[in-house]
Amino acid sequence: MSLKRKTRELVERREQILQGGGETAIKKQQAMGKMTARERVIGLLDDDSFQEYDLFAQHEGRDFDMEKKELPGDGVITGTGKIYGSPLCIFAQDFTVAGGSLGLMHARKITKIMDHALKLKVPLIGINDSGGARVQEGVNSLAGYGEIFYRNTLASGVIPQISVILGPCAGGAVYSPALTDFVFVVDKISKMFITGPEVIKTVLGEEISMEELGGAKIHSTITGNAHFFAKSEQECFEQIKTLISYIPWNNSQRAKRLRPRNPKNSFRIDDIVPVDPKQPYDVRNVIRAIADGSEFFEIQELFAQNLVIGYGRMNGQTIGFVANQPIYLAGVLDVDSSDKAARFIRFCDAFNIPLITLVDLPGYLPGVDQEHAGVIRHGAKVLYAYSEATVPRITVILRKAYGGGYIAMNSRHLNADIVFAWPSAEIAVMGPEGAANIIFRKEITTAEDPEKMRKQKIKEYKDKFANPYVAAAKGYVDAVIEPGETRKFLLHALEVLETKDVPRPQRKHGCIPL
Amino acid sequence: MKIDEKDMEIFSYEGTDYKTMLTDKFRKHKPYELEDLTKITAQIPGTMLKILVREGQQINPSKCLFILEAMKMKNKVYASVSGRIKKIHISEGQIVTKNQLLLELGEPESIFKKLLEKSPPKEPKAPKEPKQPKKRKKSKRFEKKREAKV
Repeated sequence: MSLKRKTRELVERREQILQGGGETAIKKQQAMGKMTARERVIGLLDDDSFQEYDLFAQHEGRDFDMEKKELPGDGVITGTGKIYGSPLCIFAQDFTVAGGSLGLMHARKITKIMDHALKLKVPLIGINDSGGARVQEGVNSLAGYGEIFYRNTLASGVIPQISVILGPCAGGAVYSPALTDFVFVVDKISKMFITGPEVIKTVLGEEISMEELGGAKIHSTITGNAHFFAKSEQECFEQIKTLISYIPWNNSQRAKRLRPRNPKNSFRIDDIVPVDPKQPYDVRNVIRAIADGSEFFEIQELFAQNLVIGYGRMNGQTIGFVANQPIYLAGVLDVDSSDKAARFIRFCDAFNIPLITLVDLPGYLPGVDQEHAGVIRHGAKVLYAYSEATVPRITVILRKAYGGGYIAMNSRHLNADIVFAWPSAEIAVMGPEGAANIIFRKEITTAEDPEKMRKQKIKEYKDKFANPYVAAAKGYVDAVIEPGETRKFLLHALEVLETKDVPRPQRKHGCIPL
Repeated sequence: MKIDEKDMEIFSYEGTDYKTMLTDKFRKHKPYELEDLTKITAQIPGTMLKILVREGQQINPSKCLFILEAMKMKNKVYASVSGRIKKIHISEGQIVTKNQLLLELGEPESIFKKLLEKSPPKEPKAPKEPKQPKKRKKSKRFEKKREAKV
């Protein structure tokens, strides 16, 4: 047989496997409004950058007549590719082949590409679209899941791991995305849960649809399991590409630096923030007013909206922004926003992304449900994450910074590198109204006109403490700055913090309160 | 995002009224309610296999009330307080749905109640008054000691 003929045979073999689950299965996939696994990989990666691995893999099922079945690629596509020229590893489960079910070889292909990603120190993207374990392969498929989880954990904090949920991802399978850094979901396509509606109905008698139980919206708004919500797969791919542009390849590198740009003139700090701490404003506009090109890429936009996290750039370098959002619940911290902030801070710390924190909050959200949900433990995560972080940490106190909330938001006391305050900052144990009611309770209750006395005492307290100068006098605030010059001060701070080096005591790992 | 005055609500925090929006989760949160321990409901759906008590009977938390078959398991159902059974809302062999009311107790004889009955009711202000002289005494002693040291 000549080389030409052999080559032709290869092409024929390959062509057949590239069909995936065949025409009918592909049509079914399209009818559900979903792209095929191969379309997804091609659509997400740079043109002609995909190198496939293990195309000719054969499944290992030998029971229940499985040996007679052909499963092209064993239901998963794996390989290397590039996004904006950055190399990465990728796998995509193919729902058209046996419902994307996970058998031994399917899992082996995934763990192989994961090992590869860890060896090359490049990000890993996993596209999940699978009916779950391949029941015919029994315990082998469970072994497969476990081996994936183990690698997710080993890779955590070493390479960025991204999960894209483009179909069902249920039962044990959903723990792989849960172990990764960013989860992308698409409306009406993504479904994630541990036990499905059927089981819930038989055990508890509760009836619920898949969409309401674990659809994209639920995970973006209520559970916080998803970080990015998109209306279409195409929009989702654009979000992934943007994220990749902001993060480094691995934990020993910095994110790619872009050409520095000035913020747009349309975002002017003086017009954004009202001086009265009771009035709301959108803190994202403050970030836009100080970030390069006024670009801010928000994470978990729909979850715990009282706190904003996301990436922007300063002097071309990626910065992680954490900010209280006064437009929601006056910017309070609570269980969800604490989890949201702590996780983001730790990712930034692991991947050398400096943190800028914008503070404007009245404290922690009161409520029986908050206390019973463990706000003590959850709130502690923020303190832990900030205190532990060794990347440059800069704080700007915009307005109110009261009580425990002030301490938690990267205060000087948690060893922030530099704390700026605007002249509108109010650093105190609580707001003037609450404080006056406690300190001057006697004067107020015994006064002839208690309401008048209350107002007078509130003013007295406000004049004395509702400013940044008391904290500045103690060195808790390093500099009180003009709001309009915030960017200038931040750029300088980031520049001098470039060489920051804080050794930490030797330990296996800390014990963050989970 | 532009701020729409229509969406703004007042969020009162430590005496200060903030103008802000409420998150969906906050708006949907259920106000806390004290659990009514005299009403025994089904935690899981199943079939009522056996009723081991009758109306009017005095029971305590160690008395098994029902055997409820659910998930192929025979589950024993207990009350968490003592009391006299006012009404049984279920009969044997019946299908039970989740949260269905099974049994109602009369006045609960909780530990707290028993304690209250044993100790004669005190005036709410009563324990405060004897405390004050005690404090004074202490401070006097303290002063004496100080004097002695001097």
